[in-house]
Amino acid sequence: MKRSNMSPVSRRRFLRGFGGVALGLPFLETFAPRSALAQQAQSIKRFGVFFACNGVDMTRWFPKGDFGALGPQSLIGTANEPLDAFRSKLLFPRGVHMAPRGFGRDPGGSDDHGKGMAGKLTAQPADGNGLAQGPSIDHVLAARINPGADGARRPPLNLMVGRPAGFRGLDFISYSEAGRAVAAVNNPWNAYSQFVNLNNSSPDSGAAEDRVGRRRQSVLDLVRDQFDDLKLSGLSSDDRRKLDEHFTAIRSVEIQLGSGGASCSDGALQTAARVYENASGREVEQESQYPLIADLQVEILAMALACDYTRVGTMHFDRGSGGPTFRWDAMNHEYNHHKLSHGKVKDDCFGTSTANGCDDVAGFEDMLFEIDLWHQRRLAKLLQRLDSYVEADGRTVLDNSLIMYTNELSSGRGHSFMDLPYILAGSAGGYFKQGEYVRLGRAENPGGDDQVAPHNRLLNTIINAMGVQSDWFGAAQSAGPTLQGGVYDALIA
Amino acid sequence: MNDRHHMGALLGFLAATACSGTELPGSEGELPDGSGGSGGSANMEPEGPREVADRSATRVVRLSHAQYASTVQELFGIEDSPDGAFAPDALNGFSFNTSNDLRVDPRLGPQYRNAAEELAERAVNDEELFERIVDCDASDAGCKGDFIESFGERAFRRPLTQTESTRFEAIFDAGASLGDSGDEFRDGVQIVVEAMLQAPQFLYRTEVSRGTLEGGRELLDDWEVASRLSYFIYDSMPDEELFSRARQGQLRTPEQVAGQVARMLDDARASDKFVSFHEQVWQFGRYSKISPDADTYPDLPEGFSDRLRDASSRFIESVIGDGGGLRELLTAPYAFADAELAPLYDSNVRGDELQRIEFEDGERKGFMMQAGFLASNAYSVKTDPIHRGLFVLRDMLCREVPDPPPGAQMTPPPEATEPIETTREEITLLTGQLYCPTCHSQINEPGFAFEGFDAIGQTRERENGVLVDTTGSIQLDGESVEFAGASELVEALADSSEARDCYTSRWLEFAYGRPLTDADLSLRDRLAREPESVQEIITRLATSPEFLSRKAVE
Repeated sequence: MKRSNMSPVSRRRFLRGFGGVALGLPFLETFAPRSALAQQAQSIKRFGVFFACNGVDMTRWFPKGDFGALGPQSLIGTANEPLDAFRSKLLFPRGVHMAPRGFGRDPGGSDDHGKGMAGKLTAQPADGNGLAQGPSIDHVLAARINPGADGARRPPLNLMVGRPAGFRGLDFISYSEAGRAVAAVNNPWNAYSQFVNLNNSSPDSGAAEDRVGRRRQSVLDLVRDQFDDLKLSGLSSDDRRKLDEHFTAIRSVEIQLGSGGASCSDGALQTAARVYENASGREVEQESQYPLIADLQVEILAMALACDYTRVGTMHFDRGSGGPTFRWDAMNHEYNHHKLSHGKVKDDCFGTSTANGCDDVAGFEDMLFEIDLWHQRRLAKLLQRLDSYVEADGRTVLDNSLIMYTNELSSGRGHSFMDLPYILAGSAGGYFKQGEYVRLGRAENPGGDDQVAPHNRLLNTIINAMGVQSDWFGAAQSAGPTLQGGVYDALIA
Repeated sequence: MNDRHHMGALLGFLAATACSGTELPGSEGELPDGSGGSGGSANMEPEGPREVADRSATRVVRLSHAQYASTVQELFGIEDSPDGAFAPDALNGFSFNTSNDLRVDPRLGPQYRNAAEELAERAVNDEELFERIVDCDASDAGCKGDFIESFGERAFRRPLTQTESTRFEAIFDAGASLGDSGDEFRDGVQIVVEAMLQAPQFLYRTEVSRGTLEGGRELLDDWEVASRLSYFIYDSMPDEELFSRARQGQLRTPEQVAGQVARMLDDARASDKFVSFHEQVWQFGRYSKISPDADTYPDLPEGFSDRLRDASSRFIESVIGDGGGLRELLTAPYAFADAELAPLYDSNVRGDELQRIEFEDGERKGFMMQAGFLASNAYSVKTDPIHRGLFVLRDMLCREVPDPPPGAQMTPPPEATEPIETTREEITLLTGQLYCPTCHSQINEPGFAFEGFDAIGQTRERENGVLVDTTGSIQLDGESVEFAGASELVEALADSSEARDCYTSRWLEFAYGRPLTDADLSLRDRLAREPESVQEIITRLATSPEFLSRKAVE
């Protein structure tokens, strides 16, 4: 948290500096599929979350035509057209709703945006501060499948692009436990250096590596004694727990992160991300940086998954009730994403009334469609990266992974939690059907309760797909009548 | 939805409507038809308060990232800090009143290690840093012990225990075989620094001395008082003067502490910290949303919102520096502007520097009648009386005002018998329906008081040709107070106990890094009794028996 006292002039200079970065570099080609990847005897499963906010243009998002196999025309003309090349590796579950449900339907605090952020990966109600009352799927899975010893497995990589708001839980999709949100990293350099070891004292030879290891062990032994002293000085159980958590986080002295180790770095990506080294929060959060950082974070997520730094990663685009004003890539919107999601000229407007200055934005549906397309191009880039690595079993990393597209809402105009847009890409090693559009619950024209398809069951299905046996995920049944256990057989290959 | 954070009290809303016997729209109960937020329904059961650990009992408080930065800067005499790479804390609400609940997650733990390794390596390779932390000749036999003792005291903000000294001497000796500088002394220094910067005694503010009991509370020792004062006023570790006083046992009496506070208040760091406090409690985050309509306001300068923010901060800094307090913040008849902002105030000051502009009698008074507040509580063309009024109730008076339910804005306004010309008429009509008046009867009028200012904070007499109406009333200290215009409203606020209580409560939260508990109210009330300057509030707070002690162990 450095203070920024930059004058407008130097700020502009700073931006020009960012503009000089060439984008679209073939970041990952340089390290794969050699080395560690090829050596993986057994394929590993990865889980990635691609999380957009404020809902989508529901009229042009889902595949066209009937349920069943996706055809050559299914995605053309929809927001998912950029994914057409991966059509055979996609699964579209339709008619899923959030559970616990939106405002006023099930117990819990916060508003629809808060619930959408807090509940989408946790299937938990929010508390009065908008914080989810249980862990999110990425943290649950990382604790089971990530590299590391039990109790100290590596955390998931949680990335975002945009500006945290700092209130009502709107910034968070990930939770390590009830009420404990995990803030995603919005600075690409910090994200990159979280898993590529760039410390100057990094070893470059066996002997030096050994010495660094012994040195860290000595320091750790002393630090442990310091922790023990402190814990014995009459602390509350809460304070002791705080210190235990801390020590657990440092007790490993591993030198190389990622089994890919030193091979898991990439000069071009490093150079591009390094532009943000020492950038202040205010600088990183400028809208002019949004598209640049979005692209970098997608590359970084792909690299982190591919080189096995983490088997679980998330990336979210800004926050519920927020979002940038899209003024790039041939878009030149006047209003930010949240306003457009309501089709209104003000953030406070909701619904269809034009009272109180709540005028409609002419053509807002087309602008939302443009935004959806823009997101899906980023998703396509993520899939393309993951699909370009062939693992020892002959499948690509994407094939052995599951990348889930999800959104805070479905239709933003009414804050809908029904009929959510989902994509499951990659099959998690053959677990899921591929190239299909499957009806799970009601899409339009709500019918009877037999067609209820809660998202907590979808998350539970994914947990099982990743090789972790689970009967139930999310809040207890008492948190909402639509919560369900088990898996969706209709999605399983 | 509006963007308030500290009271997302939908539950409170339901309670309020329950009391007033009104019903929410669209409570059809079962799964909705795809417009999920059409309203609340009766099956929403408020959760009981969650069991929360008593945070006033916390004795280990992790340094915030900002405190880590200022602390290593003071420790090593450097300008930069490795904290920029730290995993962000999940801030949700005021950062200052949640700071005693900061944790170290699996991301941050290794980052602390990296930062410690980086700083330690630098400390032995940069002569300036090395000389700052090693104040003796390496060839002297006692130098190792002197270094460990003096650096340890500054890093842990208290003298090392005998056990600790022995521990660090041992690792110093081991350092020679684990370092690579070729200089055994420097290798020793490096590993000691590396270890100390990873110790919880450095990374947390700890208050674990065996305290003397007094009035059911444990007195802090001198070192703990030094740290409390320092992190409260500087947001950093104690300086040499505080350490020296602590060493001499001279931070015991309120008089001794008051002397230090007076000295510290003259430091620029104190001023920065106090400005930052106001930026948080008074919602400067909203400034980033300022986006006036370019057709309506074509001549606005580049970086409009940043300029407004800087001008507001400068005003606060100036008031505090001049010995002012809440009254002056609310009523001082001046503002700051550079040449680009000056036209908003019909002024013609020149240059890029912010300059002070004085106002005529009652024209503008205090923070809330300056362009920054007014523009950050406005839409692109129109004013936003609802948020201006909410600011008065929530941020100036600390009242719990719930958010409107989703769907509130779906309610169409009733048929108007006459054409609507002003924002006030429009809002009055719209919020006069259904359950809305429960809250809006309190919110609207304080907001209307500012209708004499447009969406970018310029004065106006008319809106769409109609004279604006800035009259109204507000409940203050249990009585209804009438006002005609913002000047009278801000004077009434400055006179009220409620505003002083609210402001003082925030300062206590700031000082303690946590929300207040009932046990804090007697101190709050004592501090709020007199309208005083910010500097006096700080001094009286820092010298109070409560601040200089802690909750006793059960």
